[in-house]
Formats: sequence, structure tokens, C-alpha cells
Amino acid sequence: MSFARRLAAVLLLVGAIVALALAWGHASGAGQSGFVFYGREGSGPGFSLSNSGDLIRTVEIEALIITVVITISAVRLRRRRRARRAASGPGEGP
Amino acid sequence: METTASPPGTAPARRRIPVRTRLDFWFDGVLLVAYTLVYSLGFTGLAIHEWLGLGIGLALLLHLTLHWDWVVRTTRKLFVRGGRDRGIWLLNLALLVVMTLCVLSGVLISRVALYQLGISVDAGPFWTNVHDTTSKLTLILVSVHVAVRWRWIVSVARRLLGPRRTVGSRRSQ
Repeated sequence: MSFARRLAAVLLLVGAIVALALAWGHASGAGQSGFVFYGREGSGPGFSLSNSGDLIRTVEIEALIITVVITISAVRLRRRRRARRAASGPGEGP
Repeated sequence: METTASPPGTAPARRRIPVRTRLDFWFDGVLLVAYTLVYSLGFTGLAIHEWLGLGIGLALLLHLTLHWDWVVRTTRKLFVRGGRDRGIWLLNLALLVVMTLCVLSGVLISRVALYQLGISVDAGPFWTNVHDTTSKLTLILVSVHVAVRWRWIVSVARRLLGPRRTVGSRRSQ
């Protein structure tokens, strides 16, 4: 399948999710009346980097979740290997 | 690790890691870093948060396109008993829906990026609540999404970033 076809399929899928979400918002009375284009005035708030504590907290949460999932996965993998070894053990070996 | 033949201990062995694997590794790595930055609104400020969020939205379309074959293959196998990737498929579907909602709601409540593009959107508190909830969910789902592929990540990272081995120093297994 070509890249363009795959991209078209992805856009179709994401478009369907967006359409459903907008319908959900409309049904919930979100008050979203659509996009309004106007002449650009100024550049709005500028770029700034501050509060590295926020970034550290995000990294900590990610690291915690990743560690928990990897630990569970490693334990399950070890159990599975042990079970496989136990199942094939008696008939094998020197 | 695959190596090319060269005199023992002389030239560093070349790593034959497929271009596609390299692309996946670095592209996904950059995506993870960008996502971490986007989530840290207090660090980036609103302008970077919004522009980077829009960039991530586009990058995710590319990420999904690059892995579309996996989506199709796994979806076909979904109802086969004992399909290994069923859990990961469900996780990825949840991540797709939640991430799409997060980016969409982010666009709708945007105060900087759309303003700079000359677009105004009249969005109520509904989309702010959606953005708050989905952003928290994405943090959990993205972390799990990364963690379930840890063996692939470790394997590729070792081959890409590990010390260069020469043919002569290759360990016998």
C-alpha cells in the first residue's frame, strides 16, 4: 500500500473521530459556533521558558508509569519462561 | 548485531540497522520529548504549548501512517483466539481517540496559535474540560504505550547507541 493511501486512511479515521467529537460537543451544548477569521493584529503572547519543576514532574510521572509497566511485563515474562522450562525440563538436559 | 566482515580488531564494524528502524526510533523519541514538553505547560508557556501541540498533532498523523500496516494486520488478527497484540491494539485505539480529542479541544480553546493565524473560535467551558481530562489521560496512555514496547526500544538503543564493536571483539554466543 502506498504512503498516500495509508495517509488517506489515517486522515479518514482521524476525521471520523473529530466529526464524532464535534457532534458530541454540539449535543452537549458546548456553544462552539465555528471558526471566525479576522485580520491578524499583533503577535499575541511571546515565547518563554520557566518553571522547570513542571517539566520535572511530568518526567517523574512518565518514569513512574513506565517503570511499573516494565516491571509487570518483566515479571510476567520471567514466569512464562520458568513455566516453559518446567514443562520441557524433565526430558532434557545431560 | 549484524556486522560487516573486516580484519579482526582493525575497523569498527558497521551496524546494519534498517533505515526504517532508525526512523521509527528517532522519530518516536522526538515525539516523546515533544509530548513531555507540551504537557509541561508551566515550563513552556502558552505559546510554545499551543504551537508544539499543533506540531505533535501533525506528527501523530505521520506516526500513525508509518505504522498503518501494523494497524491493519493486528485488526485482521483481532478476533483470532490468543491474538498477542489485542491488548496493545486496544491501548493504541484508546490513545488515538484520546489524543485526537486532546488536540481538537486544544485547537478549539487556543488563545495564541489561532490568534496568530487570524482565526477566532467561540468555544465554551465544555472543550476546556475535555482538554483537561484528555491531557491527563494521554500522559498515562503515552507512558504505557512506550513501556509496552520497552524490549524493542532497549534492543534498538543498544544497537544504535551502544559501544561500537569490532569484528575481532565480537563475543561468542
